[in-house]
Amino acid sequence: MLNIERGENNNQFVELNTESVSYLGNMDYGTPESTSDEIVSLVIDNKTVRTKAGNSILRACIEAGIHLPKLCATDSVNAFGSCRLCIVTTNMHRKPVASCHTLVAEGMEVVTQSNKLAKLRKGIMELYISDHPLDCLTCPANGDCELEDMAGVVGLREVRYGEGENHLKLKKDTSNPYFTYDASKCILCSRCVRACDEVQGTFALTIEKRGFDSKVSPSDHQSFIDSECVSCGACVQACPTASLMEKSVIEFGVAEDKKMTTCAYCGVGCSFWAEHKGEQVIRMTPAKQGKANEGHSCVKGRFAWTYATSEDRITTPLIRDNINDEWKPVSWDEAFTFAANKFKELQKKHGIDCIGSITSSRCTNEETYLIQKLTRAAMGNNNVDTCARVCHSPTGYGLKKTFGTSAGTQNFKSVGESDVVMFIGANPTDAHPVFGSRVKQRLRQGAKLIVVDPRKIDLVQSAHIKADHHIPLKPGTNVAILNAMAHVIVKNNLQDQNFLEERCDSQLYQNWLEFIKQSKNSPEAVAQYAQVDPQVIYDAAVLYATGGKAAIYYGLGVTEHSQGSSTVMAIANLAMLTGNIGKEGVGVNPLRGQNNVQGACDMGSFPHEFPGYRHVSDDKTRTQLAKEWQADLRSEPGLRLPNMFDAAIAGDFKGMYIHGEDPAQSDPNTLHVAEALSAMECVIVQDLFLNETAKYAHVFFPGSSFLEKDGTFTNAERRISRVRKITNPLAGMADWEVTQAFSNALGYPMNYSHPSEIMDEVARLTPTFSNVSYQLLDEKTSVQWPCNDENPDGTPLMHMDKFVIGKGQFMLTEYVPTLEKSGAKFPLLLTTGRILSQYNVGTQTRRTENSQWHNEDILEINPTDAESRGISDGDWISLDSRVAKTKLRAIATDRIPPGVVYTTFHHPDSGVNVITTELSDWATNCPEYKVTAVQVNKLYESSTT
Amino acid sequence: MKKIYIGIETGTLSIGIKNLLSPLQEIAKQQNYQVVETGGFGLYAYEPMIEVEHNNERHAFTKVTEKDLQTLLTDNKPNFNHSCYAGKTQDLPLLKCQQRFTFRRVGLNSPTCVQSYQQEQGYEGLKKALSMEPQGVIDQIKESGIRGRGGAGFPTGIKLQTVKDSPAKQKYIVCNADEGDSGTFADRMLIEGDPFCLIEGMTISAKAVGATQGFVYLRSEYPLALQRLTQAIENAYQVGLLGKNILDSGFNFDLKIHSGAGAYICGEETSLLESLEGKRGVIRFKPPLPAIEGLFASPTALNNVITLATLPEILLQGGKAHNEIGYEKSKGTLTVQLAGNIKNGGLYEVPFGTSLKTVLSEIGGGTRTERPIKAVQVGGPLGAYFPEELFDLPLDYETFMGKGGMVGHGGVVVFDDTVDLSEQAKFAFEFCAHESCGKCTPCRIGSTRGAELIAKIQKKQDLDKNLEVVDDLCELMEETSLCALGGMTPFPVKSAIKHFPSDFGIK
Amino acid sequence: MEANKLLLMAENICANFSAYPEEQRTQQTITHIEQFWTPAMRKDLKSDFSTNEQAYSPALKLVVKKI
Repeated sequence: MLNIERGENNNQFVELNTESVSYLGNMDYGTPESTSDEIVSLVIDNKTVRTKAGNSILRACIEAGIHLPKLCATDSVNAFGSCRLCIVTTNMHRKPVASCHTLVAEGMEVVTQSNKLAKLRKGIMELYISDHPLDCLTCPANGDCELEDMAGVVGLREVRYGEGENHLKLKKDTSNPYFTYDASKCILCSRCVRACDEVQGTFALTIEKRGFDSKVSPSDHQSFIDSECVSCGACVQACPTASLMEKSVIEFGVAEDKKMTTCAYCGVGCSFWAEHKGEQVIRMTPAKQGKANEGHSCVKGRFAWTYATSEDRITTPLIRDNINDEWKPVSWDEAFTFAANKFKELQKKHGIDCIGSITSSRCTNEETYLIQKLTRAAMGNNNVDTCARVCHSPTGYGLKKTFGTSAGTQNFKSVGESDVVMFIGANPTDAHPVFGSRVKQRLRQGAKLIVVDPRKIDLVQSAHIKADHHIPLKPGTNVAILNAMAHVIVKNNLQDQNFLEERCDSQLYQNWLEFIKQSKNSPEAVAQYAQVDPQVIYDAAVLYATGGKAAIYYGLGVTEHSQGSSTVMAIANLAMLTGNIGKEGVGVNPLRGQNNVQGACDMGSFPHEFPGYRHVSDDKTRTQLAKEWQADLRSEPGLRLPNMFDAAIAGDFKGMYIHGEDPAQSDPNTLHVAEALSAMECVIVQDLFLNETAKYAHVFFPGSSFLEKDGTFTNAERRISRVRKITNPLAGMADWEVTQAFSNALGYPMNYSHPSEIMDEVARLTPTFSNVSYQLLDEKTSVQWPCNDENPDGTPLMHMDKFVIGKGQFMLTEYVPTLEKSGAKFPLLLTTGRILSQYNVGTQTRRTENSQWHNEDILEINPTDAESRGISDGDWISLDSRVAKTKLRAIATDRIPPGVVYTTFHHPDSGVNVITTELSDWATNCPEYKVTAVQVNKLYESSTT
Repeated sequence: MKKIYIGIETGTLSIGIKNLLSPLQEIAKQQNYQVVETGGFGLYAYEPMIEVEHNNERHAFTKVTEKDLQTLLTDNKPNFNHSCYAGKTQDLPLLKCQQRFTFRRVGLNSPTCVQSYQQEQGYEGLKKALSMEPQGVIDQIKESGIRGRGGAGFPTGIKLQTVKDSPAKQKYIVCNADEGDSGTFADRMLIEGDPFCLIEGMTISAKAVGATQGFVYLRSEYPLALQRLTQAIENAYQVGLLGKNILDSGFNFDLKIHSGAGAYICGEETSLLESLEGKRGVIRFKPPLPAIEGLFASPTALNNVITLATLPEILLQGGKAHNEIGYEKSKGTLTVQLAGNIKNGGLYEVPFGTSLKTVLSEIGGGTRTERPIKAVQVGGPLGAYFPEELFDLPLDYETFMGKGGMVGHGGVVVFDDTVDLSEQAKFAFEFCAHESCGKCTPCRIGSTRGAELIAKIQKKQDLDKNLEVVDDLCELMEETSLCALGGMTPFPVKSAIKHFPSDFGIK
Repeated sequence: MEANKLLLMAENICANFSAYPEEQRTQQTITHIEQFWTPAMRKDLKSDFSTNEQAYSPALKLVVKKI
């Protein structure tokens, strides 16, 4: 299956077969790689070895193919020096030294094997085993235990210590739903503690007591579930024994096979090994080869994948004539015929434009491509939109206008070079946890931090992290704050004049300069209505402009506003103004929320754009596509998702094919959405479960989870990664096969035999994708687009010499206050967000054990506002907006300033989107989720029933 | 007014000297004398000791009881006929045999009085240091040949040079006052008796390396030392001997005390630094050396109390003067702390090269029980047990190392022939197990297993096999432990087995 | 589509170009509407304008006349 050959430099590489994935990078090198450029030459076991200065002897050995026993060293964390197994002798040291924490030196001569070393290593193992249960054969780590391996490697045959003190009777901590901590098997290597510190950055674990009594302790001698542990699994990953072990492995045993795939949750797009036995997934372990995550994960991707086999998975197609009727299970063919006929009838009666499609990030690139193709070629219109409409569509608009590309400029690794990071409207430790951990690593190294958020998110202050400047602005004033920052930079002459002259359109810049200098853009003027201290704005601006390489990261707190697009452009302006584009450590980085929302956009699931962000009016593109697709294509834009709903209420829009999206829960102004869906005559929902939208559906196509299909996802880095099928689709058809069959039923033939063929077509037709293929992805694991002849290996950093649009374009971003204002009746402003353990509308995570952490949405309210309303922690409150009202329980906290309230939207019964409004971004109609004027009133006993 | 001196320090307090204080104050008042509480000399053969000033000389009364106090003075002068009268202090045999280089002022005056300190040439060393270039100070220290007195014996001048040569925005001076070795008390006596000497020494080393902040890591088990040092530091700040612009030199130095929390391992320099940083006191591997990456990853000169307290005298007299005292590569004096089963327990500062035998018989006077000395452990709980055959060795780092032992911090604990060395060997493992930080496997598990093995050997279980396992375990701990706690626990064990095999049932 | 909705959207677009000089503002608003609105929506807007002109801001009036 795998051929291992040695390359010229003694690096191991693996020959690939057609189906396998590159196993490169599975090696554990013991200690992290040095960042030095200097190379050192030394002799190990009479072999000359060259390695980076600053590397440990251990790493140099493993790089050269020389194996040493080790237990406490692992290359995801720094050397520790506990086990002493990795000892070697050198010509530069009197006694044996631990090779993990001894650095290489020019001219060093190392011996890794000798009688003396062998005896000492055996002695170490003998001590370990004298205090370890001897139940290897029935232990869950059997077959996957480094302690067992090392005992074998050193040749331990007997333990001469006999009866003695031990830890065998220590109780297990099974409190965490996903893994068990068995202290009796712990070897105190502290890998778990170090992983929690250095990789995850939560610092939840420590060692309590000392000496022989040492024991791993979550937080303050608490159980795992009660501690600060966020269940990311890094400790389980790091543990070399069965001490920390997945419950799924304990129950089902070690997997027999594995395939690399990509997480279906957030926009970090972690690579995982799906370890399975036949069709049963045993566990998901983060892949070191994944460039986005490099071996780390969060609770969702790591553990919360069991929704795929949840009891309420629908496995049979369903149809009904009327949404008040019972669902009728039918065969696939019947369902396709029923749906296709309905759509054709509707078009006959109401015109070509009365139906459309919605894709989502749950779709792979290939599936999204097929659906937009189906809409354009089979339905004959441009009424196709995607979930990005309600989250990052302003990114698409804003970055296209300023830079020419609707995507972020860097890769995640770039933050490792940043001197200053600014987060605006983003909460990475909750919403992009693995990236959040990367950021914290860099912050602990000394990078400076600016946080612009009404709320005191974890990044503002948590273990070893403190924001240098926190701007707790009033929701809705993003543009004003960013303009003020730019104003400060210009007024103090801190801009990067060279960059501006060489890289930016001078006329537009001059116009913008005049605009930004106006006194209404000064911190003093802005501070008054943004409710912040002007000094903080000033300091933050100076830090961003002069602190070195500065990067901006932003999320839905930027885009989901009536000026979302303007905010994105203001961010781009700031980056151009200070020359923070085109190299490591800088950039404009939209934190795309979902696993494939970037991909959905790339694939042209838009009413106004074809794949590759080319406007439908672009004759050349349209002609080429029309020829390839053998269909007439419209040059006028189609309906956006919110406009589809408006049109439905107006009676002009009658049918929708929705894949993987749940607008009845995730779109704002729920009652309006419900009204619109009810007004339609054929709603087709393709999903895993009967969700809120399915209540209004006439056809239900059972979907396939990411474990049940082949395809690709594209993350926030523009990184395309493979999704690999582990099990057969529960309902018998993978999502792409469903769309294909539906298209055929509509009369437009599609004939792909494998998703790779779909990607090949995308590559043929899309210049930025022209070199992408499944073979390339197999070889490289992933690639960041543009990936074409100009950039055959993909493009980690964009706009390095020039912008895609040529010269960077400064846009005038006037602050236009939202129409949503607080007043006497609705004196507070509601903003919404996410929490680590739940994902979006909770469809997936609510069906897993993650609900143990967050089984309801809670309203956060400032203590002064709570007090004046007589609200105590846990009280039920009524949350009213001018649109509707709902009820939640509340908690008083000073994380939120007075005048602002906050909640998450993961549970349908909290009805948070029932009360959000119809207001949206001027350019893209991205809903203004983040500003809703509300009133909060305590609910008394009788009114909660 | 004429003075009466009484040594109030933890040692004398433990034998009830406090009971003498108020009656003494009474009598002194009546006879027009002023009572001065000094730091004591550390001569427990004489304590409770009271000195009475007469004609500018101090006269000593030894083994004084409350009853004796009544007749201590006659006609406003010492009662030379008193049974406790032992002659002039300077002629006391146990003082005369010493060469008090570092301890010159300990026992003389009130420990926290700046003026008395300065009257005894206090701060003259610092004045010299402040008038030199930093490299000049280091050169003096190098010339003195002084080696780290905590036990490692590393040349202090080289350490300070390393710190000086490491560029950084902030450097630190740290004093290791976590004197944890059982039977040792020199650091305690120095701080209780002459705290300004330590402060001056730290200030000198700060000037030498370019540090502006110092910390004294003082073990929590020394409350009186903490009290006196705190007062001394306060007084020093008040008169401009700490803080900004010391002695108008433009040099700034701030000093703080940090209390330990009961862990022997925090006497090891890297654990100490971890503890000082607010973390668990766990060993850091070296390199990097603390001199380059120490406290808060900055260059740090970390030294023992005695090392630092010797610097003022070195600067005052010049490095050469210190270099001329001693034996081969062990320059200067050793503050021997003689304890255990010995008649004249106490602190004796003698030149390196003095033989152990001299310390035991001429100074120590043999065992308290008058039985023969069976074994002596030099250097603390990790030191070797020497039999009589080795008593004739000169106290010198290299000589003791050559015999499988160590001089360490100068602790000498004496055992008579009722001692069972197998119990001592077991104790060595038990001590290691109790104090182990737990980071490295050979020490964390090995120490517990070692104690269990000795217990089995004592019960004659599989004697030969278990002795072999002990031997292997000792080799393992010596060769692979992360620090000297695990690394040197085999010293007492191996020496006990080697020199006293019959205690282990070995024929 | 409902006229009020279209009017709100159009005014919003126009307001966000208000920093530009009049001619640019008008042109950019028109371009935006043409790029992103369906023909039906544009038609409905024009139709509403013909009966409801007084509800339109001066800037928007210039825009709608030229669509």
